[in-house]
Amino acid sequence: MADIDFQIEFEGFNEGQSPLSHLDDKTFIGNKGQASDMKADIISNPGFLTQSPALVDLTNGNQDGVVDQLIRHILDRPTGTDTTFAIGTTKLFKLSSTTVNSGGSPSWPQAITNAVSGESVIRLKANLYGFFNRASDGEILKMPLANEVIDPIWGSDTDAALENAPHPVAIKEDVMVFGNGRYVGVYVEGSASLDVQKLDFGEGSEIADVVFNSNTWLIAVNYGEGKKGQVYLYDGSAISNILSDEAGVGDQEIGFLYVLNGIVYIAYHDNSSNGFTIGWLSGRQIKPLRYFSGSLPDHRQKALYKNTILFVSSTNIMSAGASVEQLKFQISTLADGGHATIGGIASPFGTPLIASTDGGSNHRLAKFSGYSVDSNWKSVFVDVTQGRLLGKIHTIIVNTKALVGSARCDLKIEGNQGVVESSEFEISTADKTRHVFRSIDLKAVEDMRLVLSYTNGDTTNTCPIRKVTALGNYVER
Amino acid sequence: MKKILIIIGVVIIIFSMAKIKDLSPKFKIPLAEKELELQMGQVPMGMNQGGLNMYSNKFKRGYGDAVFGSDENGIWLGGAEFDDSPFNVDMDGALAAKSATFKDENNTTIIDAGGLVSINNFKNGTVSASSEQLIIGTSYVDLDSMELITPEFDRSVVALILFTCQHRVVPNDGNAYAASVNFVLEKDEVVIPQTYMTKYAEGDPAISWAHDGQGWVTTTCHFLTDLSAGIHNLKMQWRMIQYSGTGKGGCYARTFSFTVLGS
Repeated sequence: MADIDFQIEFEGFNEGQSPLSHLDDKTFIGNKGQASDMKADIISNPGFLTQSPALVDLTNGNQDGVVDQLIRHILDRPTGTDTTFAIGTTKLFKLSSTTVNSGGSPSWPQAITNAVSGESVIRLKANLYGFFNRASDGEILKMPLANEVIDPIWGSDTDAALENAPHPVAIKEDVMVFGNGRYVGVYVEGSASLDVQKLDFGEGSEIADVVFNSNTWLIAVNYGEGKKGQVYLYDGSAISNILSDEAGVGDQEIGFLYVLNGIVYIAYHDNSSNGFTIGWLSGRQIKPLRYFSGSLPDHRQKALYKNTILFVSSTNIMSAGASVEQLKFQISTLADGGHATIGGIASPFGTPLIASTDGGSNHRLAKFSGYSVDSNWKSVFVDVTQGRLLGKIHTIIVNTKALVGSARCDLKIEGNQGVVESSEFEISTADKTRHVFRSIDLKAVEDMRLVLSYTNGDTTNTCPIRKVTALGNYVER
Repeated sequence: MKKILIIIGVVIIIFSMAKIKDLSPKFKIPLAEKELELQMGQVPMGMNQGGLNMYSNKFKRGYGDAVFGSDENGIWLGGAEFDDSPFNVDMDGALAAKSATFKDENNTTIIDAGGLVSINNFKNGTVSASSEQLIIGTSYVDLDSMELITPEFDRSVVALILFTCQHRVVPNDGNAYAASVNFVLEKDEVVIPQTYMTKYAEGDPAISWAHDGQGWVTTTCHFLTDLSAGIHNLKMQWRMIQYSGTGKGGCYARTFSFTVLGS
């Protein structure tokens, strides 16, 4: 006997985006907790869907304060109590978890002589080192943390100028390894030896990122304008001129490397789909984990947040990973990144800091705080036909945490690939945990998806959703 | 009435059989701890265990220049790579070492980077004498007290023989013309011809043939000789080979020794 009633459950929102959402934002492929399109927080309280975090500028953290340019890289660890540094296009910034320093002696932010593009900043022992490009080459600045006086030509004075190129950098004990165009440079503080061309990867190559893991440096190199990526292992002491091992990504450009719990993650361009991939170094293979669309993040655009890797994709901040390893690895769009062009991101104090610019006179350095109303979640589409019968949704039941204050989320159902849709239903009311909506005004459809929107949500109290159940029955077309 | 009841009963049964179809999307995804696990038999790139680093083309143990490594060049110690190391052995067995110390069973250094430090463990023997021995005639006679019995060798060796002797022409009638003597090494009662050595008592006989030589002359000589496994009897012999009148050869302070250099 043919079934006449059906139900569709949406829960387990910690699973993030559908495996094919980067190719089709109306995909049918995915699990009941996966989204075809989303911008929401599913990592802060896994299993619940909550609003994206909002961005709040740090004190002095925009053009009205002292951030009058794009901050391109933020040091991802504090150099002292509630203190870290960041490098912009032409300036070095000092900041805390709440404030971008202004004035003082020396006066912050400090201009960097001849800088046109800051690339990275790192602390090694008692000094801060900044890598930046000048009009036609690159340079390393050195600033003792004790007196904060910048030597803007330390690299040239100690060894030689750098290439005009990205300069990813990483440290281990007293060794600093950095990218320098086709070269890898090494500075060993114990012997005060700087070699800006320690390793040469040849014409047409460019160091994309450098990390240290398990007594070994991992160097990501792109060849031929990003047409091929390779990851090399290099001896931990950085004394040798010989590489130890290598693994090829293939004909794909590498964005960044990130080490988390001893696992080396790699973001790279997936040429086959014109999208991007987060994978991990599994043996000599780069094993893809999840895919995303937007843009390929670089060495300045990665951070750790809630045990997941936070990274930039176009104008958004995305998350990849599992909050606990007993959950599934997810990828999700977590939040908006601020202005249209995002610079560096980092979590030196736990809460992510995000720098962005509109390309004109507006710049900001902001951190996650409160909730954003620019947040939504859309399930994968579900086929609700049976033979020549169509599906008619008549009831929606939503389970939430006990709502507080003005917490709110709006719900609607899209049908027939989004051509038709229901009215919006308001999920709200303090202390309420079960929200039942009957008489859904969506005609019988071939397929449906759930759309949750926080556009009318609250910025103080979110509406955490645990489960949504749609009840329907088959009807004659 | 009975038929109606039956129909109602069937409807109830059919109605109760109708179940709700679950259309919830399903897609199998492994847990993160499974997905981020190395596959069985998969070798990680650059395995590290303790201080041991294993790569596809080499392994290293240690850090910085304090490394013991092995790659296609050979094995090495004390350098980040083979070429920079102070100790290495290549695939042809060629050893390069910046320094070495060899010790005996008593932990006494025999050889170090500066060379030979001690010969305590070298097999050797020495005899000396200082009483004057006279000789007349051209037949070989044993030099008194110039005999050595070697220890037993368990394999063939090469020994360095050292001999020094003070000698002179002794006038018997105040008018001697003795000129020269021969020394020779005898091994196990067999003269070793290569050890012949002619020494003039004083000066060149062509110049001072008629010489009343009474001055002491010191002769020093050394030979390398092969000694087979076993015990050997070594001694020095001598004779006069040119003389006139009633002159005699005289031999005074002398030392005879051997040192085994190796096999």
